[in-house]
Amino acid sequence: MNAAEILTMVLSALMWQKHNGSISLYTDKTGYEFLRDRELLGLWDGGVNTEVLETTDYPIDAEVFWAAGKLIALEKQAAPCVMLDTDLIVTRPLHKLLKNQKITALHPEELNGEAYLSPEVLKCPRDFSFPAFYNWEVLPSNTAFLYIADERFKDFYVGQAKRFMFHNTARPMEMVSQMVFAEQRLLSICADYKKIAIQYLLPNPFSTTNETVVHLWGFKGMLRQNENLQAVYCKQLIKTLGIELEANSFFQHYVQTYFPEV
Amino acid sequence: MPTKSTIAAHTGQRVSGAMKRFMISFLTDAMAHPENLESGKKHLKAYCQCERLNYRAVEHNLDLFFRLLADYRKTNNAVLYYFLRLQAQFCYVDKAAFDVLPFAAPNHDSLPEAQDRSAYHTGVDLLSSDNFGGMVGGHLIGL
Repeated sequence: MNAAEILTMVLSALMWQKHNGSISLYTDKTGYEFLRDRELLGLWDGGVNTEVLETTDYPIDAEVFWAAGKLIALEKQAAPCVMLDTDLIVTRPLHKLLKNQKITALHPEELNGEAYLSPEVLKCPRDFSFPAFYNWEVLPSNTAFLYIADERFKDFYVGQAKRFMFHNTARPMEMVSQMVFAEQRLLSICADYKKIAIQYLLPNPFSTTNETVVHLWGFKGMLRQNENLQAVYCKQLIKTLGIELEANSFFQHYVQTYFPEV
Repeated sequence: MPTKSTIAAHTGQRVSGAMKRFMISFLTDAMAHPENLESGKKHLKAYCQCERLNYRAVEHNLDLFFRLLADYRKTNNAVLYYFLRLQAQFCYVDKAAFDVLPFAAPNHDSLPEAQDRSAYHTGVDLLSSDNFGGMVGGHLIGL
């Protein structure tokens, strides 16, 4: 993670606490050590959990299913709960929006054929077949933000994802399609099957009415290529969103430590 | 742990009209004649003293502006343009003044190829300069 990604993660955790309450982090030993070395373990008031990811030994190819850790954490976390990516900042309270909803995701995604492959092309485990109830027409849901109210639905969704990921070691042409099927398309398919409407925070990713979410998303690629861009992004993030954390001593200390030049 | 806010330093201190005009002139001159950059900093130092600004911080912001400008000039990438405009504001040059600074217009088809591959979601159609290179909610941070 570069400075821009770390600052985004810091703001993600602190802004969530400011507007929406307690937050925990699921990570592995490597992630824990990374955070410990940067004195960031205190960011998550609900604690940093390494036990789940270190002790769960599922037959999942971590290269193909690089975000499977999110689904394993979701499996262990009791519903109702929110799953929040560390590159996503929620800028206002969501309590009213989530009230009486069963599922809320970030935004629908288009059925882009390069990312969302047809069932004939997806790589599957041996002796696997897709259930007949899967509706392949529903739009996938971006799960960088995901609220699930009901434990049974959560178990059903994670169960379907596990069924696809377990012992599924065939290598795709790229490293996106298998993961986004298991995490994002299956969520919508499962909700459709259970006849649960998914609420979205945004009608589309680049909605001009968005007053709620900053998500680094594809911009991470550009940031990683340009340190000057990272520097300006960080300054601007501190200037605009950091102002809300002016009284937060953890954030103040972080800024003074890592951005002393400004 | 310190509690004194450092964020004020990031949020843009008010400066005089004279300082703003100087900065526009300074940037314009240094962009056209990079060899004048260092000599122009002597005047900048004097202005900073008058305005009670931290010269080192202003110089840091200027240096970052010129480094990003050099990156921009290689590709005319539209996203870099937007961030260059943000950085100009840290140098007391507002958006209106920035738009008349002398450099080539951004190329809206110039996103780096690697960006597509690194996106969590690969909706290539969504990655354009119009959405700040794939960032959701860029307008919430001033883009």
